[in-house]
Amino acid sequence: MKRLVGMLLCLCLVGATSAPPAQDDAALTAFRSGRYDEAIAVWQAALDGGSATVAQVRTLLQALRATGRSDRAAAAARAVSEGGNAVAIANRWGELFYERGQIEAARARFQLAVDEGASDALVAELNLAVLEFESGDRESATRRFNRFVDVYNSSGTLNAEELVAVGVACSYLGRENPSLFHDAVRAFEEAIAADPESSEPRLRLAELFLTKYDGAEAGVLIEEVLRLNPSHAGAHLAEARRLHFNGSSEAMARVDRALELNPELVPARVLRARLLLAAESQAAAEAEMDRALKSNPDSLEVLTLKAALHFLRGEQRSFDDAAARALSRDPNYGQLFAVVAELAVQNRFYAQAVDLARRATEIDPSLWAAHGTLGINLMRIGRIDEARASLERAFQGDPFNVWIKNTLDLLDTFPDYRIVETDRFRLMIGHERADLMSLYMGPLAEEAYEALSAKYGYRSEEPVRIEVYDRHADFSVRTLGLAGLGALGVAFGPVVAVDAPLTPGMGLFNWGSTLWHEIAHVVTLGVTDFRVPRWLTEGLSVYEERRAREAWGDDATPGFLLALLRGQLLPVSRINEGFARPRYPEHLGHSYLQASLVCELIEEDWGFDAILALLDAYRDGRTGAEAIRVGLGIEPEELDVRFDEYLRARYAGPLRGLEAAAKRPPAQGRQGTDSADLKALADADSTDFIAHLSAGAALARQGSDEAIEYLERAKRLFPGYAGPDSAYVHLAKILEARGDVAAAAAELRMLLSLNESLLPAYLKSAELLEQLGRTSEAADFLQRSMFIDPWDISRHQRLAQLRENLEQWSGAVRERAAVVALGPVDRASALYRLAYAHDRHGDTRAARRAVIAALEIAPGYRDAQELLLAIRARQGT
Amino acid sequence: MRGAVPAAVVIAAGLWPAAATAQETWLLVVSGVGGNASYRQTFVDRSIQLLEAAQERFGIPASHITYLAERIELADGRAAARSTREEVDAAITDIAARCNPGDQVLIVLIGHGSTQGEGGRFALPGPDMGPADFAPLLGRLSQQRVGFVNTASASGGFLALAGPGRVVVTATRAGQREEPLFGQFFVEAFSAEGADTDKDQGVSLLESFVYARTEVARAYDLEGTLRTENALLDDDGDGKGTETPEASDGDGALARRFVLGGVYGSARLAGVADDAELRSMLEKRGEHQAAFDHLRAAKAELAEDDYLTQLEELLVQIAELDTAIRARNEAAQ
Repeated sequence: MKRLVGMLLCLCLVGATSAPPAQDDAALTAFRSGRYDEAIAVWQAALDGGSATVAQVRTLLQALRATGRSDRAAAAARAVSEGGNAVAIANRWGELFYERGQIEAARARFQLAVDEGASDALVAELNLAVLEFESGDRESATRRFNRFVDVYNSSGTLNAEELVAVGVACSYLGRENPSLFHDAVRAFEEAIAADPESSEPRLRLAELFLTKYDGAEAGVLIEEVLRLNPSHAGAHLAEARRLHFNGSSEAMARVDRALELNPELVPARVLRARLLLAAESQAAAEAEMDRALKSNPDSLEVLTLKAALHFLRGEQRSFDDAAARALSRDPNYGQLFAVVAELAVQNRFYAQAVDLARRATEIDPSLWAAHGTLGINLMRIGRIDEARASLERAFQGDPFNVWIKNTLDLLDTFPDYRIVETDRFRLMIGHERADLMSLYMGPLAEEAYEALSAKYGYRSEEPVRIEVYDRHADFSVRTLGLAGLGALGVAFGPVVAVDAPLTPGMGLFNWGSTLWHEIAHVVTLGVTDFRVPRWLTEGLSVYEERRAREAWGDDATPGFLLALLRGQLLPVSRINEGFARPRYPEHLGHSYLQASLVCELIEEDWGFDAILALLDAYRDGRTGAEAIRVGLGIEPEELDVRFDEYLRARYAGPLRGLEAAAKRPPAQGRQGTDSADLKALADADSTDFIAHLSAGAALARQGSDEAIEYLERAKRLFPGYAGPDSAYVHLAKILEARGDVAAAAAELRMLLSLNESLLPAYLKSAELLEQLGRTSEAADFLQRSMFIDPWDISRHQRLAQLRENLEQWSGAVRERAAVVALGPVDRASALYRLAYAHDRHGDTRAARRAVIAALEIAPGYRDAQELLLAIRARQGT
Repeated sequence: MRGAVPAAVVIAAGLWPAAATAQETWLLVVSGVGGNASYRQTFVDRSIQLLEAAQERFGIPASHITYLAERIELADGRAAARSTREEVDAAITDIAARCNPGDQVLIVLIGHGSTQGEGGRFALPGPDMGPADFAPLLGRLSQQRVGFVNTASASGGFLALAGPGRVVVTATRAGQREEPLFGQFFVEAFSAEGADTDKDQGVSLLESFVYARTEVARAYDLEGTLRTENALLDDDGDGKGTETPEASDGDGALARRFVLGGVYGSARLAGVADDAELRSMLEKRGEHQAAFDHLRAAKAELAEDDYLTQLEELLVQIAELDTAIRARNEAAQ
């Protein structure tokens, strides 16, 4: 109290005198460079001593707010105001009230500054407009924003702060008139020119670029701000947003830095909570929201996230209450539903996202992003025509949105595809690929669906749509709205998108296992009403790949086991972070494998019913910890321990073989090092897998017989390793060169029991087996090669011939049909061979159809004529 | 294809009444300058591959085949002379003197091309030849059907030789200077299985063009490289050429009827004129063929079921008749 009195006395002098100029310059420099405490000390002293100017007090309040000391700032503002300077301080005090959710108090202060013509009245007018806009009075707000355009046009002497106000006003007006965003940019750029040392205009411009999806431009400006002021919490927050925009896992660290600098920065808490929700860490997100509410109990953004949390937990009544509360604060606040829709998408609730986004657009038709969310998610649930209308509306309102533009461009390519229907699927395949792919993909999809739906007790009410993209960029846009996605397939529920086999740029991959994986998602998402966590649905998809075909589904690699040895793998209780925020480049891939191994452990120790119980628990809305308790009857921490033990026991041998490598610098013991050094390394440690494999490979390249010894040892140390540089590959080459075809074939057999996508090995294996007269096995390997590359017509012809030689007429029919589908030059022959295979398979009707098609091309084709006459003779026609 | 065709009669599509008339095929193959040993040998090998197919598979008599090579000593005794401009002139003059009106003459250039001069050049020992040099030579074959195939790079300018009764094929557009793959597959169309898509036991210029075009595209796809050659065919005489000729009309119609082997193979027509019943059967077969062509042309206007019903009935009639013709012919052997 004594201090307050002193202040009151002193404040009577505010404006009459000031701190010494040199000291004030130094304080301002300290403030602008982020040495806030230094600046605060000078101005607080000036304030306490009664010598502070209006500008100093205003900046002191900014400094206190920037460092999360709003109570102190409020006290200072109150004191100054009560000291007779209410008008001078009104706008800044209003900002403080507004940040703390005291809307009416803020409104009164802004209005006072405007009415009384305070020197920062223009900024107060902007604040008032923003307040009105965000409280639902859009009409009045728009009138005020429009005034800024007039002010800009009629005044040639605006200072940086006022130019920033003009820029902000134009940004708001840009929602209805996108061309005004360009004016906003110009105003911010002029503000930067007017005060080059100020962070504010740069940051505002960066934020505008972020809202217009230009992360690169934003990044340059944020970097400039942080160079001026490394302690600018708002700049760190903007950088976090930019990183999040770019899909970087480093966003969270930046948010944390922002909150370290300003613990009261509510937007940072909001972003942190959103990142946690996206990572399915609901409890941590809720705690973050509660912390934010302490700073601003009336924050619409936080109320929105609270509502989202209720939604994600299936608490409909609480969600409705939260939504009603937000709408009572701002009846136009459709943004709540837009944000919940986005979070619903991140948690794979696509159908609900459609409803939410639609409601958002009904409340606020100018929420262009929500129109986009609506359109993209209508596509994800297969309602393509409706999607286009929403996307076009979104793009009309926000022509800067590259996601929407890309998606509309993608829709323009849909006429290049056609729909092939099977019992339960609608396959969308490029015209040129459809005939062939439907031969393989249709039956495999049906098989997967039949197996998985029976196992998990789920059947989709509608046909599952599978979109097979010719270009990876299109697949990526379908999934993310942008090119550059590393995945091969995605499931949105009953809509699946995958890359076509041998899509340029994606290397060799097994499209069969990819499809099986995605159909497993369809089932696990469906059976849990989309509540299955990411780790479990991914884990089960890989687990089911392994059960579908030999060699399908990834297994442990040296990289995975080294990550285990180095402690990089997360415990099961935090495994979702490996999907949401991978910590190292291979972390995402390792998380898939790790999750699948958790499923293996559960099946081995508890039985498959425990997996079903786990899924049931998630479907019923249980949290991760509760689901583990209900499904497995243990605490999550116990599962962490058991899984770690399981991994170390399952891979005990290979782990021993990798211990030496784990301790070495990464470059040592790799291919490319001198073979003598590698031999020495291997000879020094008979348990060193990497050294033995590398030495064996180096010796094999030199044609040395010694290679075999090292490669055999490498195989014994880690028999499950089947990469393209594995011991099996080198041994097969050596043995074939020696003429031991059977032994070479045996090595390849082992390799291909573990690896699903080594096309050259499949082809070589088939070739060797044919040489050995093991036609049936050769045919099987050729058949499996089609899951990697089905486009080689000569391979289909070869496989068809093998099937015919083996009198396997069902397989022969498929391969002959494949030849026809690939558009051979000699189509008449291909159709005749197909007709012949059909006939031998006993399908006379199909044979007749095919042979007539052959004769339609070549009516004098003797073989086909004879077959047609024979069929008709048998049928008595 | 069911092996060689020893029978005197071949069942084929189209123009059955004309089958009774003797139409001869003449072939001139010119392999140009190789530039190095590898290309030199490749061009000779490719030429011989075509010569062997013409003679052994399609029954063109040796007296109707002329081969000019850059180096006679590399040509396995098959070259009549060096492939100089003078010898090309002489060879075409000789064919023009010996052939009859209505015969078909196929000229195939195998070698390198260049973009020099108007319309490009085909590289020969001594002066090269461009379209303007070939034009007067082809003028001597105005009573014959002429197939002119330039398999060299930068050959598109040779479309200037287009005219009535001529099928002109170039491996590339004008200006495409990369060594094309087209020639390899064009020759393969005659020497290997797969190009005879209508199963008439002959290979037409249209079939060989489509085969080569398809295999070229496949080769580039397998290599994962962008295609640097676009073969063209012109047979409607406008000199524009097309990459996608059609058998029905426009470019492609004449090429479809320019067949090596098949019904036009003169060696296979022996005996037809002496057997009245066989002639009658062949005439009937011609009527069926005409009905078949008519039905196919009307396909778009017919309901699918109607079309298929009529098609099957017609195909059965053709098959039964062909079986009878073959039986009669085999009995006569």
